[in-house]
Amino acid sequence: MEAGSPLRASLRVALLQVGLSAVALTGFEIALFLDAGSGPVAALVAYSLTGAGFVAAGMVAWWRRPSGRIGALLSLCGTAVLASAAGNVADPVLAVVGTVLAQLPIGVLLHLLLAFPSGRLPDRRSRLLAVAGYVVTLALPIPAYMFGPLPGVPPVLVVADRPDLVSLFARIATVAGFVVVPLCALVLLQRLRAADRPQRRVLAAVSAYGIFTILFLTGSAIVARLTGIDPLTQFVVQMVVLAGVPVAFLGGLLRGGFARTAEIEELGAWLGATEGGRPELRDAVAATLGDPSLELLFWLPREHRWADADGVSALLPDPGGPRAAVEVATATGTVGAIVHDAVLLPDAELVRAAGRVVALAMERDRLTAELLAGRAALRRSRARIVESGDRERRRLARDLHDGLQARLVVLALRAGRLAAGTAPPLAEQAEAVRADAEAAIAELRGLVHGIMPDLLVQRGLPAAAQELADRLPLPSTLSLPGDDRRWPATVETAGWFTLAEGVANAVKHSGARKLWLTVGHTDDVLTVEVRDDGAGGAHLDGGGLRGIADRVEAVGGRLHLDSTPGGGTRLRAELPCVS
Amino acid sequence: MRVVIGEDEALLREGLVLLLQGAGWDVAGVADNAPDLVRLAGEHRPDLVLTDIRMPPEHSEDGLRAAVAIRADRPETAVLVLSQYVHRQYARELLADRPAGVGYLLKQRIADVATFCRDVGIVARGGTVLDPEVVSAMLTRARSDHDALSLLTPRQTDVIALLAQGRTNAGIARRLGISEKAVVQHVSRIYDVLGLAVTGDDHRRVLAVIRYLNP
Repeated sequence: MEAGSPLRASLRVALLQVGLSAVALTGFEIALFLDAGSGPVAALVAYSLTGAGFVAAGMVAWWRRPSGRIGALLSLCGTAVLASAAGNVADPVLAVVGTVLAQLPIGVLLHLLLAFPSGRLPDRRSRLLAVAGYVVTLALPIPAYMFGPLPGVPPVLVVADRPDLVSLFARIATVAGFVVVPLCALVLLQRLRAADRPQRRVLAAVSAYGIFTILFLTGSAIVARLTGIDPLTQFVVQMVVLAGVPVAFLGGLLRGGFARTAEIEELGAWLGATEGGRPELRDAVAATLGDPSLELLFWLPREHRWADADGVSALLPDPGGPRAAVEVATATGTVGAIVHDAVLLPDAELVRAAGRVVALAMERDRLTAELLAGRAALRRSRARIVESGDRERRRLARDLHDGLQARLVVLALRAGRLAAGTAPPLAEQAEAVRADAEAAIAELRGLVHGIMPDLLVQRGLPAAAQELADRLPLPSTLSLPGDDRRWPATVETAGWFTLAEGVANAVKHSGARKLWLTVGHTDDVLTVEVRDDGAGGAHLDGGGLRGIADRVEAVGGRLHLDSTPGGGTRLRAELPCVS
Repeated sequence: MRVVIGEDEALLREGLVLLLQGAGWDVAGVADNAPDLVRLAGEHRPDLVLTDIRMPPEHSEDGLRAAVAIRADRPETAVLVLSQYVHRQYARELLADRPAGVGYLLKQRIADVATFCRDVGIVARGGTVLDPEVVSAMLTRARSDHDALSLLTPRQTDVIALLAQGRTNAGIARRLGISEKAVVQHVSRIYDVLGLAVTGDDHRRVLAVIRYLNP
């Protein structure tokens, strides 16, 4: 995708030219310093190289995030450093340019820090502060070279010799600097404090070092004046601190401040890509806009709610919070929303543009989400039906046990006592009543066992499986889990009916000589299996097995049947147990 | 001999009291729930505790747990447990600690008054009586574990089933309609096949068979 994008190819050429120009400018300047620089040549060369470092960091940022402006600002800052360095060149024209732009690097640096990480100034006060920074560094120094000559600079710009005005404006500039710089530091500090953890990860390195740098550059003049430190040492120290700025930006870049972003054009190309190898829509939008935390929500109009891609209910973030939402609509109405980090990605217009490109794809994903939501609702409703059926079975079994079965035992006992206490022929008739009652009890016991086995309710599936095996008319091998963990009632019941149906089929229809019963589980899946060595050829469509499959699927499980003719039968249910 | 009865169904409780009193038992106490049963057994120190498995408060295995608790407290107490269902697992738990003076029968067996009164007596004297249903489950299970059982003739299988139920030679002979002498021959053949130690004592003989069937 990257190689195929004409925009990216053009960006590469542009950046190459920026880089070449910066290299040429730096080399040219260094050559002039070496030839006839005014001042310590090594320090001047290092200063130029610092400017080149800014430009290099700017190119990296620009490449990684073409839609942001941080790359441009970093490069501008580097150019400003190179320009101000020209003030120390013997050539008169360059020296004048360097003098006029001498303090510009500080102004651009303030702008850069205030605009981090998006490259845009997010609010009115940061815009005001950025303008103030340019005024202090570009406008306020004007009197210094218009109303008096500067040492080592040709006096081409001097209009009058007014030392009073020079010193007045020098004072104003100092005071203004002492107001603007701490205010900037304060804004950055507040932003850092308001950021949440992932944002802070990105902001911390750059903002902290930036605050340190601007405070240091402003404060070092006073420190120098107070301590009498020599100007060269002061210059070197200032330069080292300044050179740290691009390093801090690259650090922020490595921590994710400039995740590589693509253009919206690329997003369009992605949408045209073949269905098979295409990553998820969300990933594509997140990569395009450079916000890894980005989410897509879908509007389900029938249910009047927002949902994620799986159909699970979700809420839009509150306006003004750390997350922002941009709604996406097609001609037929709202299809969804792009939820993004309000700080990493403050430009709603950019998000909206991406939304327009992906609206149709989102419409398709919305239908999927709607379908998934409907399916989840259906599954829940099936599970509820099975659950209520099971509850009914339990109640019925209990009522029969406590009511009818108990009454029949009383009846049998009365008949038995009558038989024991009287003479024939009455005793014989009483004995016959007792036998009938006992037969009825036995029949009822079988019926209740079929409705819901007592042992399954009392002791769980392994115990019930053991009892099932105990009563088999065929030899069997039973394998049970080592523990007696209990599972949700519907799961145990589904497992039980699978076993019972499998066993009944094997005994009745398969002609098997041996059975293997297995109950096992992992952390969250209960497995039951019935295997026989019979004739095979069983179908899931057969009445009994169809009912079992329905029951197993209703609790989210799967029923497998392997039954090739002549190859025995294996019935296996896998029942998930995480709600 | 003294008996304490646990049964929550009033009509059955009454029936059991009359039945046992008619057979000459001294009914020392009746309880309609498991905690009361344990308490009465502690108070009256009966020779036998007769209880239903499903009883209040939980209506699950309360009676079974009460019987096990009573025997843990006074091992010489005989217990006869009744239930609408019989499970091999429950039998194994009842027989586990001290397999003497234990009975486990389907509830409906009380209707055959004469047999039931005799079974109560066997249990109270330290014998063992298991329901035919439990024994048949034991035999089925044992068949998967021991090939030796398949060497028995159908008649011998009948005999071992009755042995495991706690019947004496005379009882088995009466039930199968054969002579006691024939029973003795079958039993000794069964002992040979299963490799059990020969003993003349009915009770030990039963225990040996149960242990064999229900390891």
